[in-house]
Amino acid sequence: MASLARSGGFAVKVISGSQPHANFVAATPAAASVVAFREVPAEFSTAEARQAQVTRSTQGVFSNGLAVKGINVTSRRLAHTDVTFPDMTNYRRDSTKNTQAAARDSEDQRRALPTALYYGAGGVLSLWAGKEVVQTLVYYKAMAADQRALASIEINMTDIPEGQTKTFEWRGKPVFVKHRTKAEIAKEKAVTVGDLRHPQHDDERVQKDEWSVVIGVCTHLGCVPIANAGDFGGYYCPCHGSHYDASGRIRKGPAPLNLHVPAYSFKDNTIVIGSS
Amino acid sequence: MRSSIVLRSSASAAKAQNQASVLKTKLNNGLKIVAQDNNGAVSQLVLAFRAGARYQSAAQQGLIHHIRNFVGRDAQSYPGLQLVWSAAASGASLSSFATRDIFGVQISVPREQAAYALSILGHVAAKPAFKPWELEDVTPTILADLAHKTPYGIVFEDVHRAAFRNDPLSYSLYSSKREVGAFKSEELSKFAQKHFVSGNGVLVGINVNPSTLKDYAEESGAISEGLHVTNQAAPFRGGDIRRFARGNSVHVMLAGSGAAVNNVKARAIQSVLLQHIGRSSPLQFASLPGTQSALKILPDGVPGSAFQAAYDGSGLVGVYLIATPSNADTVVRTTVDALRNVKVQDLEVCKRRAVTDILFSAESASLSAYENATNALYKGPEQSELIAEINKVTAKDVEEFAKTAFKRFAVSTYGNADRIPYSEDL
Repeated sequence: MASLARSGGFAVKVISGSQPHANFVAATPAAASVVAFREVPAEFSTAEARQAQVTRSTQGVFSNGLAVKGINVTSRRLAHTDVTFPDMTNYRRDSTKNTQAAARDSEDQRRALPTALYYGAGGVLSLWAGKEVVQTLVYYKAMAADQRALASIEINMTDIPEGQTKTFEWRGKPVFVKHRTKAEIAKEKAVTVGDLRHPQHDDERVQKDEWSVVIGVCTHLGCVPIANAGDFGGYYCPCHGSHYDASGRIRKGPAPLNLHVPAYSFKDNTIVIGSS
Repeated sequence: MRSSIVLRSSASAAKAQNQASVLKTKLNNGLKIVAQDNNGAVSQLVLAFRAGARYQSAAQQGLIHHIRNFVGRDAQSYPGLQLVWSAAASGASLSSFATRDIFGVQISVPREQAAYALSILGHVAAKPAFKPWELEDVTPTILADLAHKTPYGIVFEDVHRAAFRNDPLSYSLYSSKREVGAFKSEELSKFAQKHFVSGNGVLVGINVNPSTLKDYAEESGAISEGLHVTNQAAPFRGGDIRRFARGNSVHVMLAGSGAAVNNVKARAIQSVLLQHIGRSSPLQFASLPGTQSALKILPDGVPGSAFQAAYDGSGLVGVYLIATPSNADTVVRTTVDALRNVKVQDLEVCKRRAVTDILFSAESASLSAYENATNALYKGPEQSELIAEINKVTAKDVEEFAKTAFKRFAVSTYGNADRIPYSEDL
């Protein structure tokens, strides 16, 4: 409505009779961008037309040079000329603010986010899908669970130097294989069986004195103990502080039983766990 | 306007009396009323005040332009949009106008809606509120007006500056660019309070029932009571204003001292003189000035026409020309020579053409409304008086009038003005 109130002016065509006119074309909006002409316009080409214009301009006693402003001229509103296009600059990306630049020049900047989303999210999903494929294949090709439950493993004894403990996986559980020194052997043999919570002599727990083989699952709540740690030179469970000695017997802490000894046998230079 | 409204209006106009009725009166509070019912379908309503550009103070030039463009904004009792929408909804077109003598608002409306349009007119014209924040909306419209000035508009404004020098009649109807937006709400309101009052106003209605007009003027109370405001005299002095612009033509206005509004005899003589100098016929395909006219001395391709502008106490009469730089000097000198040595040989032709001009201009209801308003506010003659006076004009009257009128000249030019002689050398 504001623009309607502002539009106006006279545009009159008279076929005969006196010819009213307005010397000044009344306001059209968007005035800020209009500048007064600096040149005398040559509008009227023929002598007749020029004379007619001059005569029309000079008509009237009081209305000659009359300044008129149309307040509402409902039938002469030109919507396409008096509705200004809204300024969206604040909502535009920086790369598109220059209206003179071709759209293709700013395509990389404009499409950065969609591209990042496409390749970022798409990449993550394809990696996941790839992993699923590989995992499925590996499970499919791997040993069957019923076979694996009866499997035994062979451990090369030369791999474990004296005084060290190594961990192996057997039927889903850790197995500690300890190559004991002479001092450790002597110490374990000398322990008084009657003082133990779970009284077992070292001889009951080993086949060869140099080799102690136990399942690495704490008998308290099932944590995996740390080898070569604890007050007794054997294993120490970090969960609740159970100390085992170098034969895997419980010496201190909450665990009720010694570490289990799996069935195993010696064959040439290897220890075979899972067969007796 | 929708054609259905026109049809309905024409039908009701035809049913009305065929006799045209005229009412010219003045109310007790000083408001003048001029009503003329020609039984036309469209009413022209004008509420005008003695508040034209000459009533500005020297420091206020441009004030009237601001007031004129403020029309249609909020009034004291109604929002501007409501008034403008109501006018539009009743099929009216509304415009504001100003001359050096008067300022006002004009409405053209189907005649059944005349009473309703009158109530809008009163608020729009006489009770503007000039809300301070609306100035921001008005300023661009003023800049647009300035940007759309025509060459004729420019020389016409300038010739007043040249003719009346520093006196109030020289003030332009348009704000200068540096004054756009310079007027505060209080200054505009103060001017309105002083000038938009009953003692200063006239209500003109063409094609409206005179009693409708009178009832509204007496009962509405939209126009505050107030006293007549006098103006300062502005005698013709003459001089030069030139404005340079690129291009191959130059617009020239040569003006002498013309008749004042209330001088019936001088105005009658002046309108005959205008025909003698040369005005084309208002009929189409007859646009060259008559062979007997004084302007026949103009070379081919240089159009010219006599003009007049009558004001309270002073006036202008002269010629408007479009010359080229190469012939500008001779064209101006020969025209001045012709104006100073008027010999009227075709008096009867000139008189009849003068009367025809007046009657033709009465055909346009809106132009008649402006002229009626000025005549009513400044004691001008009625059309019939003027025509009667024209019939009494003699050749000697015209020749003597021309001698005194063109003793000195005011010259305004726009365009390639290098070769235009100065008024002192004429």
